[in-house]
Amino acid sequence: MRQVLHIFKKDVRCFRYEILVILSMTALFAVLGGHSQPVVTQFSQGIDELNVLYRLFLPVGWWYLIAAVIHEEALPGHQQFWLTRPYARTSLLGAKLLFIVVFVNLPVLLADCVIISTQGFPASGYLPNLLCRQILFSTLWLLPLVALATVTNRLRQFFTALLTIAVLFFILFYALGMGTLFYWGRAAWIANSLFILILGMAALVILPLQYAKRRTTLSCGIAICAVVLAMTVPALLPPAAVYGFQLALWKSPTEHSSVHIVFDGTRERTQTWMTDTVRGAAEIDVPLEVTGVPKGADLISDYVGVTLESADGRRWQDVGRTMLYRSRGHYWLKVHVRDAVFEQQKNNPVTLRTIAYFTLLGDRKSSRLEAQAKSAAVPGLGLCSALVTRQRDWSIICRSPFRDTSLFALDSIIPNESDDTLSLPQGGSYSPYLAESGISPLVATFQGSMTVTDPSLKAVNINTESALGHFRSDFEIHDIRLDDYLIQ
Amino acid sequence: MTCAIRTENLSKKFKDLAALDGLNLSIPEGAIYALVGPNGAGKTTTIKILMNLVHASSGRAEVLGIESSHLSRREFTNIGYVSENQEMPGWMTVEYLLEYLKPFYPGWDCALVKELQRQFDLSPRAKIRQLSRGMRMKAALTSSLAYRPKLIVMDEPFTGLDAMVRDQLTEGLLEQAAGTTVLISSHDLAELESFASHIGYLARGKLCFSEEMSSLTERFREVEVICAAPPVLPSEWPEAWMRPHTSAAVLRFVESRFDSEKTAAEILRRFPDARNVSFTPMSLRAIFLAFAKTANEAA
Repeated sequence: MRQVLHIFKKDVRCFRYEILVILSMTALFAVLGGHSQPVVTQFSQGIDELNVLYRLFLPVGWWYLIAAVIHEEALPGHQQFWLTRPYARTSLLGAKLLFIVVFVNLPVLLADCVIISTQGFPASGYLPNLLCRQILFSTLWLLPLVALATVTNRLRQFFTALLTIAVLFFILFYALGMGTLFYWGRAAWIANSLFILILGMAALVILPLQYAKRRTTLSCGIAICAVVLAMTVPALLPPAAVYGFQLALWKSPTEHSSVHIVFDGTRERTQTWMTDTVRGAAEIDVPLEVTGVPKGADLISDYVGVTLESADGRRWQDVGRTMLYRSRGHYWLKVHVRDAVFEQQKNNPVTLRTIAYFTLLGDRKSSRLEAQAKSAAVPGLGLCSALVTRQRDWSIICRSPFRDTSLFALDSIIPNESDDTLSLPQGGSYSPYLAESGISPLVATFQGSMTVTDPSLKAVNINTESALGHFRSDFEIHDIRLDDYLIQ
Repeated sequence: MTCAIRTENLSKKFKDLAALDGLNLSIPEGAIYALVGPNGAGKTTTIKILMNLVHASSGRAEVLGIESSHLSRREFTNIGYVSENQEMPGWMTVEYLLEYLKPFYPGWDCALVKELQRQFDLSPRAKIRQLSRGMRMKAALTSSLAYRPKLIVMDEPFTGLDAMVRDQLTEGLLEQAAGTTVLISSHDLAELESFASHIGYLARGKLCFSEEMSSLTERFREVEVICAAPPVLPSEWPEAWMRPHTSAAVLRFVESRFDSEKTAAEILRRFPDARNVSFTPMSLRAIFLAFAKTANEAA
């Protein structure tokens, strides 16, 4: 321990100016985060934009500090003076980790406390969340970077590798539309956990390997494998498998034997309430009759996968984004079929075979939100604000500390609404964690905007429901003509 | 004889290039061992393996009785390493470097540090990155002598230094490291000749010889034979007679196994018309060149 402190003190002396800069940056992060308002005003929007920009730069500051302190006793190479000095490798690793804990983790922890307290959430009530966030934050944002620093010996090398990885991630997550780490809704926590687990495990293998044996080539191999796995495995997880896993984790089985889903041939195609265009695919809304949903409960689909089968036994898979939704009291199955398949089969009778995972929502609560500049607490959703513009546009934002709510906020927020409005639930995360992995401790739990016809409207209701349970209920629709249900 | 350093069939390959090829080296305790050889001979590679900075491809190396690949914190409290290429923490002042290193070594001698600082005229406030090459080497040597190590390993410590600094470094080393085993690789043969007790010659990854300096200088002579007529070199030329060449009636070569009586007798046996034979002692530099040129010609 004496050597740990000795090396730590040396590093503090070496990086005293960098530490000051990073601490100042973290303090500014706390101030900006604490004063960013959920209400969209010109002023708060300015702060928010600054905050978003800042959230990009702050991690770069942390990573710079981490790389610099690790590189002070760089591991690759054989010309560093410390290699032939009586360093205990465990002490060296301990000193570096202590440095990171003191100058990155602790300031972030304090900044989190300041941000949530300033936003009206007392930090003392969120201690387990703070701890969970530190674990996720360290495993995702720090440990892999520490590992990367141990296989590089120059800042330029470190940042080149980091930039390369970041570009690859950007391409995969954004350009290919494979999701984002900042989305934790529904069962996204499973893919996110896998991503964090792969990177964290690789870091935990690389760190002792580098500090004990300095096997840089092997460590680089592990790092490359981990990055490739982290980029591909979570993105390529079949949604059916994800929701199957989620279903297996559900504490108690859900009684769903009464729920029946069948094709409703009596209904004709009507003007749809919702379009979801997918390039190169035909959009088809198939009417369904859903019966047996317990009174007071709502049914939402988490994942529906559809296989089309022609009369001669040929099969095609949907292109994704299939969903079950409710509009004006009726359920619809929205399927996207490749244009070529649609053109070929549109007038032939086909069978749709589905694999479908559902969640039953219930325990509805309604909270009243008045149009005002100040935010108000909405149970389950955090602090919500409603801003009404001159054009009678209502803009509603809710934010909560650490994680997305487990509640579903229904987008039907006009007073006296009935089930006749389109019901697309927002939010709702099945994550068992107490925190998420974002840079900011605040999470947007609900965002919505709408144009209201009644100019005298002074308040709206936000309805929330909880997930009562998940279940799988596959169904088949026989001999339908796709062209009859095409959305033009 | 107890060895401070011992290697057995030590080999190191960098891809297809054999930097070391079955090196067998023994350095007795207390010796000042000079490891010499041309550029690329494998001196630095040998030292790096001994210091556990790189791993050998095969064979083994022991340092102070421990497998070099297992050298740990405990062993390094008794080993000093100074290298021309060593990356020192440039941001530290000399004073802070010495203060920082102090707790790592139980045998740290503050009085010795002061003495060395005075001897080397080291400015304690100067940052290491601002020091000249010579001063940096002095700082490195001070930080390596301060704990009175059992073994000091120096890799090309004199390269690029002026004569004055080299002299100061050598003096400091000899005065303060008496009884310590020293392994030093250098191209500065004249400097080595003045203080090394043992010498090893490495060429193309192989140790050509390794012996006491006195025995080496004893067995090498430049030989000049003046014959009655221009001599003809016999087809069976002794292996120990290096770099023969003739000029009119004069034959010159380097005898690498000199024995005044035996060598003279052998010369007379091979050149019966020899009128005069002279033997001139050789400097380390001359021996080194004879070896290097012979090796180049053979290659």
